[in-house]
Amino acid sequence: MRVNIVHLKKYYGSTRAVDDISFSFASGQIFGFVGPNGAGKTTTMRILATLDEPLDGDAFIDGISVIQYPDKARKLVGYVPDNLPRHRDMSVHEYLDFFGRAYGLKGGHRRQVIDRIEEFTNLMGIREKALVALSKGMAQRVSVARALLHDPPVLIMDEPAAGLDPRARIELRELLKMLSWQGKAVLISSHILTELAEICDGVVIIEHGRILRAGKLDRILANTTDIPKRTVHIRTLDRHEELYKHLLQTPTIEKASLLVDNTVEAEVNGGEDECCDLLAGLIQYGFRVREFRQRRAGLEEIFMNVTKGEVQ
Amino acid sequence: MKPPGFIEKLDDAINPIVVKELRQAVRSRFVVAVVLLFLLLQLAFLGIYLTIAGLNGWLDTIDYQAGRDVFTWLQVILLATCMLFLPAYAGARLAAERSEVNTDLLFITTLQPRKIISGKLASSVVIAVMIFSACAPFMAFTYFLRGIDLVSIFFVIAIDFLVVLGSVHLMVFLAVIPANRVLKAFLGVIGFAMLLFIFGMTLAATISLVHFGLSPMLENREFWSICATVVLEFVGECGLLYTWAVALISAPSANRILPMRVFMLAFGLISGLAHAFIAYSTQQEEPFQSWILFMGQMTGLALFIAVNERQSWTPRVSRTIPRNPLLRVPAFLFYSGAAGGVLFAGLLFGVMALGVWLFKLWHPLPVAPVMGTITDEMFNCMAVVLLYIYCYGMTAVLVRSWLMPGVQHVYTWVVMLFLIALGSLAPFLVSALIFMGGWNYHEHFVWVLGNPGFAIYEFVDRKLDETAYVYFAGAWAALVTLLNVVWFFRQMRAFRPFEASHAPTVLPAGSDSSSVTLPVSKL
Repeated sequence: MRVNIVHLKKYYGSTRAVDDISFSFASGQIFGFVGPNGAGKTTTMRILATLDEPLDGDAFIDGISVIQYPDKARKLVGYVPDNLPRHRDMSVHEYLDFFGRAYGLKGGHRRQVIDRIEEFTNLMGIREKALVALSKGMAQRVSVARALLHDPPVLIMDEPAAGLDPRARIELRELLKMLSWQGKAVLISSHILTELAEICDGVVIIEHGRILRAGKLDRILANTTDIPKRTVHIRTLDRHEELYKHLLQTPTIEKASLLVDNTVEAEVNGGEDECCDLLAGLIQYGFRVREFRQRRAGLEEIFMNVTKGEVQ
Repeated sequence: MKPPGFIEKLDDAINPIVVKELRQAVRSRFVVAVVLLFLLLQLAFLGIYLTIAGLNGWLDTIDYQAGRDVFTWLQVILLATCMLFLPAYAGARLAAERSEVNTDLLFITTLQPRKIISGKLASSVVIAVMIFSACAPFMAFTYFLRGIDLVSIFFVIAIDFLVVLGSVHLMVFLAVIPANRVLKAFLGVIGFAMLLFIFGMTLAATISLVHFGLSPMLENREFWSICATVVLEFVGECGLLYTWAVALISAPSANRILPMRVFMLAFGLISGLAHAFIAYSTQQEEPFQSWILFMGQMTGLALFIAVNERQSWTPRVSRTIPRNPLLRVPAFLFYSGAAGGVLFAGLLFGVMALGVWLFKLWHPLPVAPVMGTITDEMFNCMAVVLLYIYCYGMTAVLVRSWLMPGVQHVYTWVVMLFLIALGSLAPFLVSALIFMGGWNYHEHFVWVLGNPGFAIYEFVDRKLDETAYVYFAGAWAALVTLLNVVWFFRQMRAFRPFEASHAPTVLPAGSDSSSVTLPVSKL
């Protein structure tokens, strides 16, 4: 199962919401879709979910065109919008039962499917609770459960982590990992880049409707210049100034700065080996190192580096 | 797994929207409170009346009005509950749920828009049946108090039920109109005012019906002809509201106009036959005249809607356009599209004209030379009004595309209304200024030729200068048609089946600078 997005275009008047984008992802992958507000993420996702129509281009889910065969395509897609279910006078179970019926699930099979999904999404304990009484995290789980009712191989999630508390976020992350292990292709948009980086197999960075970067995170990092690849934070018991001056003279250090808490932050030109050599060198020079913390450049750095943050 | 039993099969067959709505209604404190209050009111009213009657000794004497009076009050309670609560409840719920996300979620299920709307209507009908069935015993009891017969009781209950059904259709239609909160509130106020008006009218009509008694009318052919005509028009109006609601809730990328146009044409033909049959069987011309009025309204609405429609087709719509050119020509009339819509309105007008011609040709009425005159006048008046709508609509299309290219086609109706106001008032005001106190219609009517209101006055009442209006509107129509020929043929040419330009292939490594392709195998 593969999802191919081919030269997709969608304009709203003079605004190019999606401007000739192409990428693909496959079963078992979680794909992050990142970009500033108004970059075209939701539009692309809505086209994939057959809710919108592109001006040009197409998207194929397992070879099925979302334009030519929207009825077939929507059976393959589970869509989790950024809004949460808030129907009045309705319990979680009734909500899922309603959508089960709407997806054409019949009788005993529907009940089995709903029970299984409630268990999988950990909704058993709140199945009789009214939708309006749910917290954001719980409502998000209900939303995911609804999208899984017809067992779609592709899941499209628009900002599922927005406004969730840390526990709910962790639970959602675990849920996504499980879905990925089950072989589902997941396209997820989020502004919480650190979390996205932890679970995603690849990312697409989009701005002004155009793709800026796409691929595996390491590969993007390798191909992106002007990003400090690795930063180290060093704290010693004493001789802070001396440490700072020493680092400035070290060939593998590109830039160093002494912070107010006497920590020295330095950008290392190199990888794991260079960091180890640096630590060994410091000890050899007699610095009493009490903390040596290294941090790799991540999605946040790439995002900040490649996007301009302008709104169309 | 056990094979599904009858109940389970029945449960699966029910529209999911009905199940959802009824579950929500049962859980809703508001609905439960209204139903309980309704029952309590009926019980209290009947109880108080019987107690007072017993204390005053009225029950020992024969009062020929008691049943009628009690029935009237019970009907007020029933209608107030069902008309002011039920349609408002259905409309308000749907309007609240008509947020984009909820509708989107329904779109990506297997539920069709028509199933969503019919589910909303059906659930309201179920609640109405519940309330009516709770009320029927109380109302039937009034028969024993005298002054009313059972036929009148059940006839009035049937009328009430139909009116409630129509009101629910109206409110569901208003609820699906895409609008912001302010406009929604405004539509809510309009809807409520309309409900109050229908409530008052129904009450007045049924009270007079009960007062004069229904039994003598049952032998009267005219009575049945009126009933049949009213029911036909009721079905037509409900059908129009239903198809409009379905069109409004359908995805913008769908051919949302199709059900509406199919209904308009089918109902126009069927109701034409039915009205003619009623006219023949009752020897009355009026049922057929009401059809002309109904068809005229439908044609006018079709024109008014058509000028706002799209002028090109998205791939999703165009993929369903027939490849066979012979089928494509009639299909053009039934696809969302401005030019096709104008042609469709022409088709409706043609059906109306043909109907009138056939009716005059075959009507077996004994006073043939006289009969048909009013039908002719009504048709002519309707035709000139439609000609004016066409002229203003097509002028609005021209003005919007030539002078206001930034205005979206969906707002052509605003331009059209502005032009109607301008064309109706501006020449009149100018002439009033020129001639000051000396202005009179007989001498200066040429200044108001652009006003369709005066055209109606001329055709219905004055009947002296009708030809001036026909020539004026005819010349105007010819001119705007000529100026819109390019617009029209451009749309006809664009009406072609979709040709897929992209094959569903696995993407190669990106070579296009404007797009990045990501071969999954390399991840």
